[in-house]
Amino acid sequence: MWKSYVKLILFLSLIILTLIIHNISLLIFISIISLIFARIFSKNLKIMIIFLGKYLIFTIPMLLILWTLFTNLDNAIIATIKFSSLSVVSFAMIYCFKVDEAFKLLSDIFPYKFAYVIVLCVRYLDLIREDMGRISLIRKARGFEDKGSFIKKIKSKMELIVPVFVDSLLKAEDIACALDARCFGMYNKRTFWK
Amino acid sequence: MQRVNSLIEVKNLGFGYSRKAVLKDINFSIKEKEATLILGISGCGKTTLLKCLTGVIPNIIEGSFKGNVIVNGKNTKGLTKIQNDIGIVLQDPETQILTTKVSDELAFGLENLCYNKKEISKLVKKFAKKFKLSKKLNYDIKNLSYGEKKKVIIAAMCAMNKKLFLFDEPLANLDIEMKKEIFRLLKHLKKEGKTIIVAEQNPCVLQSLFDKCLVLDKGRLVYDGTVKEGMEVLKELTRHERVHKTLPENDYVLEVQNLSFGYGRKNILKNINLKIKKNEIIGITGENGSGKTTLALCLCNLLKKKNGRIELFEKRIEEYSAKEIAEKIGFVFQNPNFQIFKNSVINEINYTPENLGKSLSNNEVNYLLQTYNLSHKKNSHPFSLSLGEKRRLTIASAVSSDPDILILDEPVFGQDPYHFSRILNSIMGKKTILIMTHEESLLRLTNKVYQIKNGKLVEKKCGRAM
Repeated sequence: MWKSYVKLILFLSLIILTLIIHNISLLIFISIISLIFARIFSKNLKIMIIFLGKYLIFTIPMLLILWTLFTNLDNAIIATIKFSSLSVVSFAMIYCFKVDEAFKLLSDIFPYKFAYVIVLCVRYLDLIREDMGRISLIRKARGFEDKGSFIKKIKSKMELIVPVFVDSLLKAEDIACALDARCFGMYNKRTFWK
Repeated sequence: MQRVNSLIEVKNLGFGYSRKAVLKDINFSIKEKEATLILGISGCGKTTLLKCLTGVIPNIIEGSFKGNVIVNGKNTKGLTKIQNDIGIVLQDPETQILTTKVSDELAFGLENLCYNKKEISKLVKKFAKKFKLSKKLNYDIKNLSYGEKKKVIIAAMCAMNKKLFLFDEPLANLDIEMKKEIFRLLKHLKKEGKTIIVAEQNPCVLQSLFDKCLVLDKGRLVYDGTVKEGMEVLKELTRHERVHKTLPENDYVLEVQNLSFGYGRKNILKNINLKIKKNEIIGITGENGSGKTTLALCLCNLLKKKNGRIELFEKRIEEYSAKEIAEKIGFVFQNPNFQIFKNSVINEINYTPENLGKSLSNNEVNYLLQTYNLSHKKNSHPFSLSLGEKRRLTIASAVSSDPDILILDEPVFGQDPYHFSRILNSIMGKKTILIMTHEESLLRLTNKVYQIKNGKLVEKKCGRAM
């Protein structure tokens, strides 16, 4: 149990540091440190880095452009690096905690029903990502070609949202039923095994 | 308080979502320690009925609810407390898994019931031993097979010492070994004096277990009595049309040589050789997760980085573009919700031809709608259809572009035999068909059956041994 508290305090202090510091090289150093921690605590670092890369490719140019429009370029560079190192640290934090561990930790702080909702969300995001991949494969099998301008590509991605959304809504009904059958939320308290 | 002589009493039960009525005027009662079988073709309301019995409907899922359901002397309507003596095991184990490890999954319910740590570890060990899961307690549930996942969920329910067990299609999508095991578990539960209710479409193995049978048709209870007669009532409802086998021609359409494929380090397919003639019907079986779907995806060139050679019409598959492959191979996946992209049935049927730059004439569309029994729903939204109708729609939209080869992944899942044999009759002899399935009755219709075992493809004699 103390291990997860150590992890939490470590990452929270790193997040606070990124908020305080304005030095670019230090910020980059902190994000590298958080990645090293992530390597120590969890095994699937590769998935995280791919996910992070996809996320940052969109956010970094957007932030740079928006910030330079409102202030000047120097400020913009510092702000984007600050933001991206913040996201690196928080991504590393999410990937370091196992689901059960996070549930236990969160239910010390919040009521356990609320904690479980957060944990369930994170877990099902992963499942939804898998479903997205499968659906786009199916669309390809039906002769759809992912070509055209940037806007067209985004529009074709929007087409995927309806099946993903409907399927996860239908799944939610089953999850509710399963939780009910395991007596989740029967009492205000709950014991934790291990 | 009045004496309770029957465990479940259902009076004038009716339920519907917005306009569509799912259950109409249902009356029955079930005594304690009685094993009951609920029969009915897909979309007749079996799952909804089970959810009504647990009280999830109307307390969590909303809709127009009528009548009374009395379980264990309590009316389910307006119950604020969760009833801890009813356990339900739904069809899809994926959505019912609430934690990551097997041991945690077993402990999850006990934790909610506020057992202390010692009791929990004792119970987890006991039930792991009972269900032969002791070796797998520390496994990640993700890595278990489909059937094992189901077993874990049943074990978790049993550990909570419930009185009443509801099973929604416990045998669906399982291989024979797993079916036998689930049968043994049900038998054991009955011996222990639990009340069991099982909803099934084709309960060939289970029959001997039950004392009582209910048959549902289109939301109404049409029969309440013994199992033997109930089976006959069901047979009346699902009269099979005979499917005529046709002999294949001699040209090879698809040739696979030394195909291997793996995700990361794990090898799923090893050195697979397969030759398929024109108009042949081929069945491929194998345990869940043995690589049936992976093989199908490889045949469509949807998975890259594979080793080996696949030839489609005597040309390497890599030389075709994605469009050309889609023209030649039609693919129907397992989950129908994943393959619906348009907002009406007609547009959905036109989707593949549109992508390929063709267009269907009105006559062709009407013919498809008629053979797949969808004419009355042609303008409604695909997501409002029942599961069986959705499956028919997905097959119709794969056939609409007139491919030479059709790959069906678990086509009977949620589909009644009547409609399915009608569909098969309309495409047999005109197309090469690959069927990935567990269903023995389907394998009997094929010309050849292969089995995937440990990543290798072995030819199997037609499944009459069952």
